[in-house]
Amino acid sequence: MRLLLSSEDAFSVMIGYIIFSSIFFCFFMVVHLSADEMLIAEPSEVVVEDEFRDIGNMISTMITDIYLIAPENGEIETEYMVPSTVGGEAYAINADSSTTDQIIEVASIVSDKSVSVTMSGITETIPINGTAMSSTPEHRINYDSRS
Amino acid sequence: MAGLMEDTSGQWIVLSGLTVSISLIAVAVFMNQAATTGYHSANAVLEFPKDEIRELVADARAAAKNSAMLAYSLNNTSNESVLANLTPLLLNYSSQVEMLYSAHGSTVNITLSDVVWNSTNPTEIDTLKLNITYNDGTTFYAAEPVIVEVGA
Repeated sequence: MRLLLSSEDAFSVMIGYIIFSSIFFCFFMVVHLSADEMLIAEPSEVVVEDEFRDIGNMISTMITDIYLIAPENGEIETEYMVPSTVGGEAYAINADSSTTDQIIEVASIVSDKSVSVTMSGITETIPINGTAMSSTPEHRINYDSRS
Repeated sequence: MAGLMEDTSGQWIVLSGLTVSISLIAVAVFMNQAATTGYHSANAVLEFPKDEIRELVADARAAAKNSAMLAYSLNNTSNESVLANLTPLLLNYSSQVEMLYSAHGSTVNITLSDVVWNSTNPTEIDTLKLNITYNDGTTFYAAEPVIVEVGA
């Protein structure tokens, strides 16, 4: 052991080559097998999550703004634009459960990814309902208090 | 040149160059991921004309109140004489506001829909009802009516 530690002789070039190439081969195999998960699936999950949250916040912001300027007897209608797919997945913006749960849900219709955004108590005074599919060409939020 | 090629005592400089270049790559990767975060929520705040509409309604209220008081002080012999002054004042205001807003790419319309007279002093105006609409192409707003309190 002492001899091994104090010895400053290195491997032969041949042995070194074999050791290095086998290490690199093992490393390559690991990367190759996990490349799809590591390089595509995980970043896509992050991107979809971020974008859904962003879109949910946008809807929440618009509804809050509409609530702030809502006329006692009148109408507000506004058009908004969202990307038709996020990370290659079409999605639905769903407000049907917001009357009871105070949330806007942005959910993919391909996979089970979904993000919920709170509505900060607005739905107590203004009930919100409706579903918007990302693939339709026009999206609108409508408020009507005309009797 | 030959001296430069054979001089091998610059290991730390070469190594620090490598470190800096790798950290630059890392920064570039992070910046790519952060580029689109928050775009839609920020855009909704900027695009939705909340302040324009609030300003329009608040200004129309103030102008209608002033016009009603001015019309009353100009000639208050009868309901008709007050209205005869009030209607052109509001029309004038409305056309000026329409011009201002059309310069910013939106159409507005302010019309007088109803006048409620004071029950004890019948030539004095109690409340005014204004119809206000606003449209900038993506957002349509209609308040029918906005009730303006005139009587002090």
